[in-house]
Amino acid sequence: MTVGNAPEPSLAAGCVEENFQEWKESMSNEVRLPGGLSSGSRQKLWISLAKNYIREVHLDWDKTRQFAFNPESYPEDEQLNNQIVKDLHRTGCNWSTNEQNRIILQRVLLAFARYNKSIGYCQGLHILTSVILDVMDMNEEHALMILIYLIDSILPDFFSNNLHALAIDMTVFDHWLKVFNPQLHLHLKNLQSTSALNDDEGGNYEPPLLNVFTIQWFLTLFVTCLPRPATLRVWDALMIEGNEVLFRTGLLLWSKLSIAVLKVTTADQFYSAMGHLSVQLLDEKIIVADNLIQEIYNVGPFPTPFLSELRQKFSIQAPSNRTSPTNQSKSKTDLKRIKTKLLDEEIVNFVSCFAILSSSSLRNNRSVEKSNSPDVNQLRQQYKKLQQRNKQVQIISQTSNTQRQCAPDSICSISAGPLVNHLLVKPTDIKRNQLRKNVSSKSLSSKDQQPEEYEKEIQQLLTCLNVPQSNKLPQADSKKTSSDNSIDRFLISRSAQIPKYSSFNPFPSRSFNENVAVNGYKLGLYSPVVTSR
Amino acid sequence: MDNMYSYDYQFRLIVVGDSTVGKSSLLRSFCDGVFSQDPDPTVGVDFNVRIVEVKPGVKVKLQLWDTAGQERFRSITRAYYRNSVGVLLIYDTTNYVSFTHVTSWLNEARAQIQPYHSVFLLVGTKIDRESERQVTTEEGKAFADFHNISFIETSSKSSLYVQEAFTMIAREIYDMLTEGRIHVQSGWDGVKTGPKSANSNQSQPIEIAQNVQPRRNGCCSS
Repeated sequence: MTVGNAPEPSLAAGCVEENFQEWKESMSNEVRLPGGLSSGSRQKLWISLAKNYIREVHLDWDKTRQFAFNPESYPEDEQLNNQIVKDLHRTGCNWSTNEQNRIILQRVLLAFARYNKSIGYCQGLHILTSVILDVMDMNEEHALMILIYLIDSILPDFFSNNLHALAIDMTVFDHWLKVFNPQLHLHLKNLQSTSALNDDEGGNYEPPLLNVFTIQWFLTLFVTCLPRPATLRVWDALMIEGNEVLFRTGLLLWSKLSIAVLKVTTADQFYSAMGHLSVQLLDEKIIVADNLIQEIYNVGPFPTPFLSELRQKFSIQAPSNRTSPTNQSKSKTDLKRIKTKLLDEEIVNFVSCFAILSSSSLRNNRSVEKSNSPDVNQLRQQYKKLQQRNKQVQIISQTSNTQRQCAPDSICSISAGPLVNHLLVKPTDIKRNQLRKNVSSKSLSSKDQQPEEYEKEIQQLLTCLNVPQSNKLPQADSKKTSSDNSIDRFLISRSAQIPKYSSFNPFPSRSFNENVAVNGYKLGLYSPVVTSR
Repeated sequence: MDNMYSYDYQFRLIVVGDSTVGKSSLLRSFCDGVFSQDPDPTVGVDFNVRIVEVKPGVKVKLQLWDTAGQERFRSITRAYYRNSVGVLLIYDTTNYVSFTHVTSWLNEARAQIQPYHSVFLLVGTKIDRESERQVTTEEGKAFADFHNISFIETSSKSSLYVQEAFTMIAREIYDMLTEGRIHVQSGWDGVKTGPKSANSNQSQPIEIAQNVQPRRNGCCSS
């Protein structure tokens, strides 16, 4: 297979936009020919695309390279390396047994982490980088370029921000599957419903059954689930056509498995069956690369408008104001049923910040208009949690003290202030998150929105829960009013201040105000509190 | 193979802990009886199954959920706590930091699982590397005692106390079940009755391999 019309990498970097598009289109044809690209052409393709991206975003490559591969270490390197080193030898690539290769892998991963501080290092990146290095004959500079292109351009936000883009995409995937393979989708939904019957009572808020597998597929870009030749073919398409290739590949793989999956009658059988099926997916005889690529392109021309519609819809919808979106899509009737509980549940699970809001909606799924105010039970649970935390602090401070006068299940009286303060400022947590201080611009936007106000609210909440007589709290209804108010105000201010799902950081550890978030987390504000009815 | 489809109960357990404490190795050692020095890191959530006998004649199928340890994956793994009846809190006995994080794993699990009742087991791993030990058995024991949970130290490499760990938590759950402190309830997948006691029709394994492809592959039968 020759790639006659592919420009040299250097040419691609310098060529004008028009020529580049033309070349890209011809390559798009090239990759779906039987047999696909030769390894040389693949190298050229990937590096050309990467260089073009770097040119497009006006990244000063010389500076970037020097900074990223600087042999002198930066202060944050130690933490990054600690995490990276854990994964170097487990990439699934044969060459990672070679010490020298592992050092190269480490350098590329560290370079990327230095370059993209909002992601740093995320498990899974080592698998992708290994494949890139493998294809690029261990050229670390080229590998870094391609990694930057892949992560920044093809998979934006996939690995940052606690994988929230991935979370959205999983919801999108579920809805696309509903259109793509309604039979399979319905079957899986039924499997899940039978395993959790009380649908109306918020019983079933586990993500769709497929997610366990689809998440892995997406995060490793099929490296761990498809035979290598097929994986590389998918990557070629991915590099050219963008992340929609992931969706198409995922949909097609599930359709391939659907004959088997439709036979299972319970969720447990499904999981068991997937054990066997996953092995079969790795079989080159079952997954024929040529056919797979052909099918990916047969879905239709890129891009599918449906995908961006769905993405937009799910990105905009914040779980707190899920009341019917004004820009309800004109087409697709099933889109109107988008406010299914499945969605609620999924977002609930991913958006821990909204845990309390969601828990109230969980208990009453059908009435989205319901007030956000938490009830006494929640307050009590928070109080209980605070007590638990206190106990945990105690054990930290006196691990050696083995006397068991204070049985964990009994309610021990709340301790004095300093103990709680210890608890709220957990140094390890903050330290671990230091390297993530560089929040993305998206998070910054919400950071601007008066974090002091949250802090004040939290402080009020804290005072309410921590007043000396607070051990009466669960019983005393008079106390409830004031605490309720402050939580209420906190929640209202939060929901008012955070208009878009995509504009805040769902995980407390790196959110708009780290301290508030950490404090709130310790208070249990961010954990879904589900009360039985 | 028959065993896989004949059991009295099914317990769903989730395995959590920092990355590289040995969660996947422990599961591999237990489920496959092999030790792999460096399994690929779990990305997202993974899944294993094995049947144990909690007392003569009572078989329990353990559905084991393996989770990614890196902090940012918690947003994904968090969703899988709720339907678990048991939580294995794993730390590495040769890494003190991983032990200090057990509290936060415990808190998170408790917060997610409530209001359902769950059983916790604290598991220290890698005791074959005694010379590198950083967390003493006493420390682990004290922590477990304080929280009133069970405790065991294991080595996946030498498969030391691996079986015991899982049998231990399975028995504990079974005991609570028989005492009525845990119930099989609809809407919750933590504990379910098996086909053996519920419906004998389901005890036949379904053939899956043949359906993927016309040409029979037969990887799961033999």
